[in-house]
Amino acid sequence: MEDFRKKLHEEVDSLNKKIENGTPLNEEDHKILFLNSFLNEEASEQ
Amino acid sequence: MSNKNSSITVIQLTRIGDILQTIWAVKDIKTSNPGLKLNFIARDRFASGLMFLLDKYFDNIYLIKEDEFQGEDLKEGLDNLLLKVKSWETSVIVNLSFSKTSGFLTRLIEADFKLGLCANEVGGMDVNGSWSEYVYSTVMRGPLNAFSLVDIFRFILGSKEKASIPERNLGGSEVIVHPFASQERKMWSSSKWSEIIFKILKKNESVSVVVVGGKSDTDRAKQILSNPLLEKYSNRINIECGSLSFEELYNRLGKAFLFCGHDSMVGHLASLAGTQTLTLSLGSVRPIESSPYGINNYVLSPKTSCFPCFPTDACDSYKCHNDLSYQLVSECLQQLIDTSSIDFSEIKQNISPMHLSTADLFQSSFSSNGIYQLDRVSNENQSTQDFYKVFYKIVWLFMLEDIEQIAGYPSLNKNLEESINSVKPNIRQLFELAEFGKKYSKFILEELSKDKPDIEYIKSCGDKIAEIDEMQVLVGKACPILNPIIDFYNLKKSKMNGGNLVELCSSSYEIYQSIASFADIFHELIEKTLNENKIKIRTTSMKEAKE
Repeated sequence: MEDFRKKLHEEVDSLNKKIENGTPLNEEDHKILFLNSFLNEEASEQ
Repeated sequence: MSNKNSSITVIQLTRIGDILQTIWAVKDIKTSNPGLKLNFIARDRFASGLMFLLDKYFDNIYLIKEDEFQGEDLKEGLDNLLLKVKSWETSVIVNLSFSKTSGFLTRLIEADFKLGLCANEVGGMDVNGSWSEYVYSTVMRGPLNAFSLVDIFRFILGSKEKASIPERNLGGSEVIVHPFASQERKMWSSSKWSEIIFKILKKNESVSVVVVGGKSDTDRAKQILSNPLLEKYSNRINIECGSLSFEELYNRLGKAFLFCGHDSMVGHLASLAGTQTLTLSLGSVRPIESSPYGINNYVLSPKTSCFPCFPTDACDSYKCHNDLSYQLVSECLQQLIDTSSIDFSEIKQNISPMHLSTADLFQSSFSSNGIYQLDRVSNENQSTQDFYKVFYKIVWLFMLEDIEQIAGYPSLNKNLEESINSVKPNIRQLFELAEFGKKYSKFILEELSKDKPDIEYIKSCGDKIAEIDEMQVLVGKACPILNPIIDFYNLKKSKMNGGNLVELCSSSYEIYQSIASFADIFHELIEKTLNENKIKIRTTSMKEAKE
């Protein structure tokens, strides 16, 4: 897996923990979630 | 939409067909809002080919490329996108895509108001706006949606403008055929299409057929045309698979006098180009949602009990494909070639009742309120689902848009009458539960207004409300026809606004009031239809007795 993807997955994993705990997300967190979701959609459509 | 200087940004990250339906929804918005600025965000892979149309209707367009967010600094590309979109000074952002990706993007864009799916502070998704809630609770959940997606998009956008219909092309000698779809379950076998093309060419010497599709459809197109039946007519058949740009295809459609195909973006492009369409809806296609918008377009769909299915339903037999016969399709096409309309009595003369009994034929039109509808061309009774859709359409328009839709009382057969009678007690139950919900919400409000409210009493009322909500879900399980109402208002309850208990209870009271009103109107419509039907039966019997 490319490095940036690996890094993104790690960030999403830590965000998921935040979400599970009900911790409010900031703008940067939402950016990560968007990028992850967008790249996953693109990958599934390839 | 009265602010002349407002700026609306529309997000549509889904496929080409959805983008074309979005174009239908926005194309007349500026007629009564000339100062309005319209912006558009879509994915490059779906929208880049449609720039010739998008440029006509949108002031600013941002197409997200598939490789836009790559490499070391992922966020740089996103920051550039957000910076660009920020310069549009969006007052209202409208997300029409209902995907998580679009919900996160909606969250990131600055705007005074946000409609549609939008990520919330804790990573969940909120659905904003009544029509977006309708999409979430009805369109995405079951088969009882009664509106075209174009009209739903128009409602979400708040557009009051009736859609202007492109002038119809009557000249030309080409019939354009698109015998493909995104999924196997939505398209006929090659051999059936060979028969259709054969019949068109055999009976109409001056007509030629153009088979259009993407590059990936080439093999299937060749398979259709390799049928020995068509050998004689090869000089009047063209294959244009992957060879035309969208703009060229649009222009080609504009010169043709008829389009026939499965549910796909080509049908939407044809209707935008002013070409009459005959759509064959199969598999998971819901004709009212995605048939080409406009007037005098026709739709054929099977009467198979499982049609329309869900895309995830397992199916090996494709019974619905067999229920739509090529004989019926050929006859409809011939009438359209001859007269641009379909006369059902003529079809009855030429087609065996066996083929007619397994399919429905619809013609598109607009109600006096400018709402797209599919009218059954055959005189037969409606299916149970279609019957409830008529009622739902009336009630949703009244509840959400304050529009009174005029419709005649539908005729009932025995099965329908039985079905309606069995639904009545469930509607009454839903109404009564809503009345109880109102009562307990009011008890809490009254208690809260006292100097020393009894907390235990408030808690017991809250428990009763929770019980009522559970019972409403049970009513939906017992009578799935009522799920659109239950799901819609459950969604509203889940996002009730209120900074304190008084505000929350007031919202709760209003929601129960809406459920009660909805159930009451629905019940009244059913009662009136049943009474009207009884009168009709009595009048017919009396006439018969006299004779």
